[in-house]
Amino acid sequence: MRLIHLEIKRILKGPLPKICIAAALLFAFFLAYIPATYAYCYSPESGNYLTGFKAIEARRELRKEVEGTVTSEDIRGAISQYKEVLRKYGVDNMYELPNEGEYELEKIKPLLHGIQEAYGSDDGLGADIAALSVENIQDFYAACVGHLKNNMELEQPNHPAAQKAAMDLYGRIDIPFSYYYGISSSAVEYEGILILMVLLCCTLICSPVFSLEYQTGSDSILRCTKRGRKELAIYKFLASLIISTLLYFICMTIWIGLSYLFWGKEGMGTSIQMLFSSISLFKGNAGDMLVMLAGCGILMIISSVCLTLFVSSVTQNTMVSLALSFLLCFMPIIMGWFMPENISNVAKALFPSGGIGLNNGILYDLIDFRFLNIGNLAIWTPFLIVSVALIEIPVWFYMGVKKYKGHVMK
Amino acid sequence: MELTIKNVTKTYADKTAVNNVSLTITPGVFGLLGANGAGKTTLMRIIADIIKPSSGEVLYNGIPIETLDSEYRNIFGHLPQEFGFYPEFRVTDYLEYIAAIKGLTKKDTKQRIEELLVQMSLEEVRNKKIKKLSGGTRRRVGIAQALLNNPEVLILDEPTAGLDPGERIKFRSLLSEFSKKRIVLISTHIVSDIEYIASRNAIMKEGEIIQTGTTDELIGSIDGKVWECVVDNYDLPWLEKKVQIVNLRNEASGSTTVRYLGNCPVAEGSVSVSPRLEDLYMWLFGSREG
Repeated sequence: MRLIHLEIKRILKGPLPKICIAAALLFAFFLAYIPATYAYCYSPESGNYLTGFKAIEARRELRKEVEGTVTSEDIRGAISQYKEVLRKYGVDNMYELPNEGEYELEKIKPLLHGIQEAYGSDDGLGADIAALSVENIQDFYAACVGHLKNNMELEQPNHPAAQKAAMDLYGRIDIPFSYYYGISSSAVEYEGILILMVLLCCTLICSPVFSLEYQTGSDSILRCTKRGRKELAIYKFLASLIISTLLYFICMTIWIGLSYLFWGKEGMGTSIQMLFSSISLFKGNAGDMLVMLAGCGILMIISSVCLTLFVSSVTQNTMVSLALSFLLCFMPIIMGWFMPENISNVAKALFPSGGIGLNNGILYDLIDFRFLNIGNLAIWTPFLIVSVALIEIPVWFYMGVKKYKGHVMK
Repeated sequence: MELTIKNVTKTYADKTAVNNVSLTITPGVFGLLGANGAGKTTLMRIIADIIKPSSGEVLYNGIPIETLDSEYRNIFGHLPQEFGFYPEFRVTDYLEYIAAIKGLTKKDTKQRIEELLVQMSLEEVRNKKIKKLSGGTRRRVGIAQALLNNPEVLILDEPTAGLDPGERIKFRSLLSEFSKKRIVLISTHIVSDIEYIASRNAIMKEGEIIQTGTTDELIGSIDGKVWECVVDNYDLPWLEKKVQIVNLRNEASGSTTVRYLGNCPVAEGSVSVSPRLEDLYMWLFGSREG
């Protein structure tokens, strides 16, 4: 334990790790705060749009009526109300409504997106709610299942295993959905950005752990000591992982804590299907999603740090080790720029940071319908990403320790 | 207690750094003398088991050091010629860190650090960051870390580089005392580091050991080849062309006392003087290599 403590102290000495830690903590604060500033809501009293925390409070009041379990009756009511408002203002769709009309629809807005999806046409286009007949609207949840089936046939036409897997996963979600006003979908996306930022900071802190010893020659003293080879390599790994894990937990605690504070805890009970897509395969509510993202995040960060340390153990120079580590960490993002989406969505999973990114984070795998199809086997990409990250932890750990132990000076 | 270097060769793509070296080192100070590039550092690194020989082996008490592994490293202390410190560490932080890696207990660490801070005159800088220390003081910190575990085998590569004359004298006395029951191997090209404290020496040139023996045995080989004379300053350039000059001392009235090497006297009035290790070094390597 003494050596781990001293190794942590050694890694954290110097300005760079301190700057990284400070930056990560600032990111945690700002990435929780920024999405709250995006909230807006029309105020008929002032005739202006409210923004930020005032908008959050105004919407909370407005949506109280529709909070709770979402029933088919609620759906029918929302369709009637939608049509009524459109008729009142003499327009064909909600985008042509004046501010006052938009305000009248504000409380049922969370239901409208689900209605458009569930009752959309077979070619995947969303339904025109104004054209829907309330009398024909029966079971909303049966319509959702039908929409998913249709969607999977469109997206994975040659992969019946994937279609079946999606239906099986959807069969496990909690029905009926729940809705409570609170955290927005964009705020949930910011959790993914925080994971990316923490990964960046951890990579900066950990990439010189071994390569600096080679570069400065301090290695020639360390490896002449009793515990200076395998044991020291293990302790260097453990110290780096402890630093990264603690930094992650502190940042995540700040972010989740502030998100609860800014958006309120009630909204965490909203079904993911009400927050993103009515046919999302994730079983759970917004709070569960935050925890799931945090859990996947730490797994991917630990795995990525292990890869970074392995890279550090095989490079003689800190700049090379940093550049290579960044390249590997951001490879899933880079692949997304150059490769067809259907390939990059699966290929990224080979990297420990496969579920960390801006548009390719694991959140989008959890709410989407991405599968790795191998013959009759279809693996949902979140399972793939997490499994690969988990498997790679001991692999890079072992390889890194072995490389440092066997390192020979030139 | 015996360190045996057996037919060790280290070959790189373009050169042989160490060529079939064999040595037996017993307790006491063992000096490894050679010009820069002679292969001393490579040999030291092989003994420290941080580079592997292309052939041959190093044995401690008859057992290959690779077999002994951490047991060997437990009784080993190493000061490399060039090495990195952690600049942000304070002196005591650094020593504490190295002590932990050497496997010292917390209690022993504290006691040993205090002893070494006194021995190496580091008490005043104990809380200073290493990046703020002078080159000589950093070297002393380096020596202190090598001594932390009271090693049975201590390997010092150019240990006095950067030390001032006073520090060198103090360091030599420390080593004399320390080496009584231990093996201390010093690699240097500074002859005075080992002349009076080494019980045995080896001289290395172009990767090979060309001579071994006690200081007296080694300098015996140039007995009758060291001369001293007083020459007029006007004649000095002529003498420099004729012989290998070891030392010069300016005298009054435009003359210089010259110590030079030669099989026979060259200048008028030359007298034979007792050779020293420095003379042997110059005899073997010449001024260009020294």
